[in-house]
Amino acid sequence: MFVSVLFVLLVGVGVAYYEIPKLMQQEQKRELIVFACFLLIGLALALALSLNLPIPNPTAAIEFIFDPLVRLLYPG
Amino acid sequence: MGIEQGKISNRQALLLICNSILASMILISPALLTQEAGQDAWISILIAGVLGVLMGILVISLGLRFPQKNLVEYSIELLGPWLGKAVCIIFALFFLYLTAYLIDSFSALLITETKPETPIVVLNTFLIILVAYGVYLGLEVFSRVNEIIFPIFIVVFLFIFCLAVPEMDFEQLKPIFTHPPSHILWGSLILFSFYAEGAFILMLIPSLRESSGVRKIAGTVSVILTVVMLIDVVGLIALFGSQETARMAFPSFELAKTVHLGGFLERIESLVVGIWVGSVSLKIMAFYYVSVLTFAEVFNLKDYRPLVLPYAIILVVLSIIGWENTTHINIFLSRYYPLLAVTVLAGLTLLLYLVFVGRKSGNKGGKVK
Repeated sequence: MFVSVLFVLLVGVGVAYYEIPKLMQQEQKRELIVFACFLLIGLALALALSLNLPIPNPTAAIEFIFDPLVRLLYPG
Repeated sequence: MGIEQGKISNRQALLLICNSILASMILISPALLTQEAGQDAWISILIAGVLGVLMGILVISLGLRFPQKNLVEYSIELLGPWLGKAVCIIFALFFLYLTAYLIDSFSALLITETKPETPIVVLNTFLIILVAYGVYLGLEVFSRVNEIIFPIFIVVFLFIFCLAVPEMDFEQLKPIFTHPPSHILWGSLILFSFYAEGAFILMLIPSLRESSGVRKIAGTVSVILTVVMLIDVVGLIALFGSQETARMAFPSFELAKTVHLGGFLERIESLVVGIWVGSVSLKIMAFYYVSVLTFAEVFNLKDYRPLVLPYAIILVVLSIIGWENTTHINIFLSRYYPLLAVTVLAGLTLLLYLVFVGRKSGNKGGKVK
């Protein structure tokens, strides 16, 4: 568990190190903000996965939303 | 004009759409189809072909109203900044989700057939690294790679089918029309959900070199895909019978396993896996690219590339947590996914087209600007 957390953090730092200097150089503030948001979402999800925390599952949400329709339409 | 994407020719676009629909359809859908419609699956394919042409005509007639603009720009123009962006974010999230399930079914194939010991995280991560690299290089690059890979994919597929013909028994296709129409129609809905994925071209129409020639693409794509799927499913039913096909996870792959030629051409399925990995990673690249590009356009960025790597991390997590096992993927794909794809892709395209038609007739009356 510890190793995977460390690995996730290393990947995050690596991605930030690769992209941020380029964006700073070109003074793209908007890009920087959006990039940071996506990176933080990704890292939060990856950390939650490696710490075995519950993650909201989109498949469950889709199955919940479409369940009445499937019951209505699915022939089998 | 949005983000500079590079230009692709109409032939590249045609092959890209064909590959993007076919890569997963050829491997996953035969089992789902025969579960629903048994030996009548070929009727579902014909119905789905007609639906696919209609979807193609809808997508292309929407895209050609704004040949210089992409989806984000004209949905903002049609629906206003907030609603337009919300619609585009749904589109982008759908393709993110689609990419995650494709990655999952990719590693499901590798784990069940060739590498049972490898953890799923490793396979997913390596595929995503490959795909992210392709997306980083841009549309032109993976369209050109696709121009090479897709013909090889089709040739290998036909070659293997020709080798398997001696063992087929076409009596297994009888009796015809034993399944109730509702099952056959649901089968065509499953297949249509794959055709509907072709709507990703909405984002790419401004980067076509001559967008006027795109009209022919809808018909051509649908004919190619329908013919390939007919060969595939009819061959599979003739070889294994419909019940056996329905039980398999990847029937087209099992077909390659049955090929033995004169004692020296054996284990040809490795070739299939190799080609399929290339083909499906190009499919994933196309959808990944469209999804990232849509997000970049929605947030008014100058370039989509900064988003590629963070996206990859999200994808790894999503592809692991999304589905528990292959049975779950199968149930999801045969029941929930068709409705999701039809609602999001066909519904979204139809909504934009209707708003466009409404605006145009309003303008003629001189009331609404």
